[in-house]
Amino acid sequence: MAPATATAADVTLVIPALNERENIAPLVAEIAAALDGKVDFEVLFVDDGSNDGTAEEIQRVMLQERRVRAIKHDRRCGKSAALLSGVRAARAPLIATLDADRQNDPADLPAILAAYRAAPTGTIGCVAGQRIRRRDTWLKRLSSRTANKVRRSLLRDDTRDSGCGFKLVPREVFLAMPQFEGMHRFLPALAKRQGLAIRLVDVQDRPRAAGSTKYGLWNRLWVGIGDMLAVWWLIRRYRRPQSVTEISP
Amino acid sequence: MPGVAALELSVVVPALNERENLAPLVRQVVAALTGVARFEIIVVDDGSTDGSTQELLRLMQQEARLRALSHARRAGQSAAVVSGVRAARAPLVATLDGDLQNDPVDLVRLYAAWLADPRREAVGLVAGQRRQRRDRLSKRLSSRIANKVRRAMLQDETADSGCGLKLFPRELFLTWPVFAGLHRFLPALAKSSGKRVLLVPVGHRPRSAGTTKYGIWNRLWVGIGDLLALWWLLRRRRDPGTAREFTLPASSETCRPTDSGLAEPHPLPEPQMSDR
Repeated sequence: MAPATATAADVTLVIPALNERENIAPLVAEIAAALDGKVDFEVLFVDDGSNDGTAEEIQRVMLQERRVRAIKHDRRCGKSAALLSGVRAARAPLIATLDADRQNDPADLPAILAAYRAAPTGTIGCVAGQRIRRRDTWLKRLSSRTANKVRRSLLRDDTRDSGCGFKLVPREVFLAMPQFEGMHRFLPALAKRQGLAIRLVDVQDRPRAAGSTKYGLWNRLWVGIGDMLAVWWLIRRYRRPQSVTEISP
Repeated sequence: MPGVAALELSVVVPALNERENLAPLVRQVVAALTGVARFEIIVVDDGSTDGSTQELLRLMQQEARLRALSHARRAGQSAAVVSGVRAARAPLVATLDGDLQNDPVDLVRLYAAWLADPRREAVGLVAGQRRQRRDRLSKRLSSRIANKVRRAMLQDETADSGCGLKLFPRELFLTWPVFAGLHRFLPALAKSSGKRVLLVPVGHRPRSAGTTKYGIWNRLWVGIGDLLALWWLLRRRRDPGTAREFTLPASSETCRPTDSGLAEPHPLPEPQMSDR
């Protein structure tokens, strides 16, 4: 636990948000309730081109909660790009991501942090939340389950549920990963590619209370297959020199 | 080490079993760059078994600007370049092959092209283009076809992406995906990062010592796979070029990607312009 005098946060919560106005204030309240006194954090919203007043709502929340920061894309770029912008702007060495739709429960954050801290420093590349009971339509649940199975057997990323918004990744590890739209579904595989360990933590899934989903079957299927094959290839083509030492006389 | 902070150029040389080429290589790089830039040479020994390490230790006694990295096991040319770039202390990195087929004098041409560009902050790569290859017919022919196909698919506008002579900003390189074969896709990656590529004609010399590690078959299939993977990933790249931090009220300042400085307490609730 960092001392109260620390000037930088220990963890930055990066939260991509697209038209999630009504979810911002309750989410921030839940995060503060879950983490106050446990860890020094900042909340970094990335508004991916919302047009429902999400940015204004974030500003309103900033008046009450000084640990909230926000960046904005001038046009919609996608969730992976939003995460990347957030990670780049983050001030903490550790990044935790969660979805803005409040289907992830911030109360699960301490367990995710604990899983990271339980392992030796520098060994963990990704802690991935695993939703134990999905609260989505049967079509989304079925397509997710199939996609997870195929991805897991091809990429051997040992992850049941790679689509869960809860992920914890060291900032430097994230920035060393290949960046493309969809990469947020491959964080465990990409961390493993770098020779780092993965930890899974069971988390709750809640039904969406407000706002609407941006994902369906068809905007995930074809690009998902392409992404998976490209990641599979990049994993095969990763060569680790085992160790690099500087030689000196 | 003296003058570390003032280094302008790190020359990274991947080398696998090139013992006999190392001494002339170092001599020629030093001769070419002395007085041109404050430089260091980093030879990355990718698991050589021919005594390259001992040779490098010997050369370091004579040349203080020479550094050497050693891979515990062979990891390939791209991995060697990546290790070298990570270890580099200058903001700008130039690469050349360890086989002396690149002429170190051409490093000066690459560096000069970068320096001479009025918008060099927008240049992501300076790529050497071999005018006349000094290789076997089969290699020249397979390279030509590969370059054509790659160029058509990735639109990287580069006639010769396999030339070992390249120059790029260190920080930019470190944002690119690492994989064996990366060194052939630097023009496409630089362009996908929104940067310009400068092409500079360079010479090419026949190999005088050591042996090549490349043939047709160890480049063809992996080359096709690399090309398809890169083609897909570059299609899937969404660059949020204008991510801005906002505070109170809606103000906009460009958010600097490398800014990870210490947090200052936000002076709230005073409405203010973001200053990051």
